[in-house]
Amino acid sequence: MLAYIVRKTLSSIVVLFLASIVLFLLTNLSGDPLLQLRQNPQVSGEDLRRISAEYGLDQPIYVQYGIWFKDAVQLDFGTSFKQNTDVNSIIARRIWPTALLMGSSLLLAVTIAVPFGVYSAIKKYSIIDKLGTFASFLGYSMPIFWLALIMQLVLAVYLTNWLGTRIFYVSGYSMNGIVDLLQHLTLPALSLAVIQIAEFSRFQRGAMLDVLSSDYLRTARAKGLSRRKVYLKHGLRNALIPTITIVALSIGTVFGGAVVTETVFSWPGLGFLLIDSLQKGDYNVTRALLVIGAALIIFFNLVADIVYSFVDPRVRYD
Amino acid sequence: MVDQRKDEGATVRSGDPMEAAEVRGEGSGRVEGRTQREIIWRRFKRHKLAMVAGIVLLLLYLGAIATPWIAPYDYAEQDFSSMSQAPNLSHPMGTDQLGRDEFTRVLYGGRVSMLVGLGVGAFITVIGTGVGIISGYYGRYVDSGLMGTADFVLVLPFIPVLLVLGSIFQFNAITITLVIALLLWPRMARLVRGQVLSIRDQEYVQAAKAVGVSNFRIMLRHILPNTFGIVVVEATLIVALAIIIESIVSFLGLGIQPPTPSWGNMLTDARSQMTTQWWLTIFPGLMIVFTALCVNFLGDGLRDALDPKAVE
Repeated sequence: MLAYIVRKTLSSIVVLFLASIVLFLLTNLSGDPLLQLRQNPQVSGEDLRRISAEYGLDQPIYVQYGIWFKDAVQLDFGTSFKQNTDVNSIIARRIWPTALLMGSSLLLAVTIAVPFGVYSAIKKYSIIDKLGTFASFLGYSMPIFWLALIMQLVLAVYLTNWLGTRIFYVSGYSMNGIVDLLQHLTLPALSLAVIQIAEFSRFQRGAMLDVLSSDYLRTARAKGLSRRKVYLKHGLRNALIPTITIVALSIGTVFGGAVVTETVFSWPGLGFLLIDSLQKGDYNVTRALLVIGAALIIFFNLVADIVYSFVDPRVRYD
Repeated sequence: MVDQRKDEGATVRSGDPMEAAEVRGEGSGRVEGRTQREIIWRRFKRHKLAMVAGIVLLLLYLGAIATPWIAPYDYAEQDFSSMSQAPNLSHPMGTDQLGRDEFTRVLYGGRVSMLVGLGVGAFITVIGTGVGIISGYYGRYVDSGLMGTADFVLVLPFIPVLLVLGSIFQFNAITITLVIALLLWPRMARLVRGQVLSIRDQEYVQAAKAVGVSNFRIMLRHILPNTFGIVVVEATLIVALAIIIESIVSFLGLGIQPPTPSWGNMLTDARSQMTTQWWLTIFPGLMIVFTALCVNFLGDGLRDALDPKAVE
């Protein structure tokens, strides 16, 4: 068991190292941080060379990677080209809004999707199950940004006009008390949660169906346990295992959803920062975000593997 | 969603001579049974929603091909006498602030979006099936090399990487198709590999090996046809996914670039006028959802129809 965890962890580190090389090269191509200076006729070639050297941009690419790597291992992602500050402090300011948004949407999604998935499996082919199936197809087919736009239009603009008072805000992030926070948070969190509910509830339904057709469940019923006890104690426990995995994996991919939702709702988190840094060609920030994104995915893959090995005794460690 | 109705006329053979010849060709003789293809078709027909979705999709793609002939206006044609009009008889989806006909633009945008969807589906079917079969068939270091690569691609943050690539390349319909395919093929490859692993050691493959059939021929004639079911289903899911991804990247301004309309970049423009000109936000988005929904329903029907374990 310990050997399994150690081996998985080591291979994760190797993968992260390789990913950092690819992402380093990729972001290096994504913009020229000195473009504005180059186009400025007042900046002499001498100045350009000096600034280049200051940022280490005159070095060959593998040396640049070496320097970046040495700092990044110590969690120092260098200096922003556009803002006169280090990347770490820029990112630190953006982490909480993203964590808050992602955390609340995930919590919402799990509390709705898990009971619903279990119910749909127990009442297979009932009206509720069929409606749920249709709704989750709709969720799968919905680009998250359009859902967000429609929510803004209906729940923020039209509803406000109709009521005369504002319940939800279209954009921004504000922390003046819990009510104010909820007014800003609800729509972005809800739009993210809808897609996750579609995914998780289908998954939970499938897992529960697998468990329901298993022999040990039939045995439990046969020896006279109540339906309720069988479903909740014997069934749900085992049906939760795959869901734990998929939820863990989806935490790793927060960036994808964050980019879109935060852009639509002007939510000042990491996703918003990514678009901003891309537009400005500030690739030290872009690079840090991508490497952190990859690290999150790798980390939660690892967590899912390890959790799985703990909760499912059938997982083999060779 | 398997419908368990008894079907009537269970032993009637189709009179199509082509199909009868094919039955003989496969060595099963002329029997009072159904060919595999008939069984699948019958099962698929029972899935009404998938049938309708398939027909609608066919019409949508025909519409995309015929767009230059059926579009009422030109997509870049500005008409300053009819700016920002709500949907009406001469402009069924309204016009934008430059007086361009929204219906025409949705048609042209659909061409790009649906081409990207189909293109990604086709590319991934080829790459994913190829890699999956080779990986599963040869096993050992070929397998660990290819699957290692697949896992590596899956670890990259998908949307952010796509956005970075977009800022490097200035995507057009072709390049965005290639890039999405290059980032999404591992799903298909993993799926196909799993299927191949369960086929590889079956008797008929061993028999083929024993009589000296080449590896290439075994993969092509004995293994490939048996991956057909999962490949088709996964391919449809990928088409829907690709349409949505393209719309996201274009919406964020790093995908298909204006003036070429795509459903995604039309929504970027619509955003600033959303409160006054709702139709510019509603229609392109509805088309994305509608198309992706049809593709997903079609995939669901195919999944039921192609499942070899399903009862007739």
